[in-house]
Amino acid sequence: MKSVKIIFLILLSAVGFSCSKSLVIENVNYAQHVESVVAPNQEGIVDDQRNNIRFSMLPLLEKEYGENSTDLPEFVRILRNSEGYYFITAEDFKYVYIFEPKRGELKLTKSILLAENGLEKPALNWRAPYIEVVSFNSDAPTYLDENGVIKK
Amino acid sequence: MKKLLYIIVPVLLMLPMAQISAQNSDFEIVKDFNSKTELLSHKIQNAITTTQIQGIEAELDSVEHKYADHQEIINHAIYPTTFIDKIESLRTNLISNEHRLYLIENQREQLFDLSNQVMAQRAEINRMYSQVDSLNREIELSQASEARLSQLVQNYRNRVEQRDRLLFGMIDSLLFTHQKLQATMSTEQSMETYMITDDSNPLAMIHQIIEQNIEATHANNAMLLVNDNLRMRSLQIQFERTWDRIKVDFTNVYSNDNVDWGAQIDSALKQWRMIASKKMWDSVDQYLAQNEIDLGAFDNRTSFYQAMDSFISEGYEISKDEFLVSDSFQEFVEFEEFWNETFKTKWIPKTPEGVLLSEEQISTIDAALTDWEETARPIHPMLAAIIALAIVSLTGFILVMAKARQAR
Repeated sequence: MKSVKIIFLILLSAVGFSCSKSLVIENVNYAQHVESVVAPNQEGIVDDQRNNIRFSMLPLLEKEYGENSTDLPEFVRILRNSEGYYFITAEDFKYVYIFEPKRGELKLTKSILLAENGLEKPALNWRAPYIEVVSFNSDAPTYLDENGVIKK
Repeated sequence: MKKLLYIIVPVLLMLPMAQISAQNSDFEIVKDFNSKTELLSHKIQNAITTTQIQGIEAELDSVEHKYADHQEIINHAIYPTTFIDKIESLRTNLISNEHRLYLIENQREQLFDLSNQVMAQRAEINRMYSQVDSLNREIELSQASEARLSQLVQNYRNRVEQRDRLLFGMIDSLLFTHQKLQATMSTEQSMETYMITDDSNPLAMIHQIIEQNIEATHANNAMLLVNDNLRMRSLQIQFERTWDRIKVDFTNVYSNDNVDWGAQIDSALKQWRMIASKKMWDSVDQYLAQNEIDLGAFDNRTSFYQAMDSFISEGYEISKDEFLVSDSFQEFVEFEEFWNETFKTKWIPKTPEGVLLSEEQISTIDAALTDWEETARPIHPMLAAIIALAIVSLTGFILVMAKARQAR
């Protein structure tokens, strides 16, 4: 009788284990082929309706310019790579910020310093599998992935 | 000055670099492509000559060539449209607009031709009017012999006829040009509105010609015969029918903000119609009076038909009461001669159908005349003599027979 109970429990747990195993779709490409150039509103909210992402610029401004900065850029440039990381920068920013999307948040993974005096007319291009950063500061573009600058 | 050059030259040299650098942004490429195609679309819509369209076509080719290497990125950015769809759509619009403009330019050339034709004909018609006027004055002043006067009258009538022939020709060319214009238009297209000065505006010329005809018809004196008045009435009818056909297109094409030519021509045509009609019926009345056919009063087709119908009915009733003699037969003969020799043979062919009488009315009069003839035709004298002789012989025979019976 005891052995029957043990077998029953083993079967039950096997069934339970097989049901709880989640489905995973692999090799998803999140890459956005053309950057979004979005004007933040007065509250610093960036709303990219084409790519369905909405967030506040204020933490990023604080990171870029220091505390209590309200110096909003005219446009924010956003591009997502195939891994799903967001690359964000703007005119006069020194950095390109790399964010990992989490549930209800964007988590900063890297800040790439590209111009001490601020980027002049920066642009983000998707050059699979990298993000290309161009600006008037440099004739040569810089290539990034979610880990940082790529040497090519 | 040198300092200024030192500043300007580097700036100018830097501009292409800036352009190149800006072109490195995919976003800018897409933005430029969108703005250029939008501008081209706007230019295509607003082009007014085929030359402009040809220029735009070259621009479109250049845009297509310039952005062809970026079409993958553009396709992503403008999804669900594609680079090729957008270029092809522009090219389709361009070709369609080019075709439309070609038709308009063709129309414009034809309209200029028409203006020139009308102007040339107007000059000739004016020359005729002045000849007719001077002949008219000469006739009025003439104290010369009857033969000379007769010659002048004949010349006058010839000139009036020539003038009318010119007007008929002008109406034909108006109609012909209008038909050519319509042939160049597809059903969904309307003619281009064409602003034109009064000097060369065919509508102004048409109006002037009508006014001249009103004046000329008014001035017609007794020298003109029924045939002349019938021809002038036919001219007026043909003019009116032509105008009805060309009115909408011509008033659309030769628009003029200051003058409502359509209404003015309508009003003038109405006046011309009234005068030409009155002159025609007056001359018919005059002709009948001269030929001692008394139909009574009439001044339009209905009253003319009623007058003839009454005349024939009365003659028929009188003829019915006559037996051996038939005075009304002479009246019948005169009327029948007018009806067949003049009215049906000379007048009807010279006027548009239904102006003098309708086909149905003519048939009714024909039938009534046949009845009248049967009733009015008197008995032949020889037949009357034979009947009288037969009656006398019969009477004599009866009397002889009666006497013979008494003798027995």
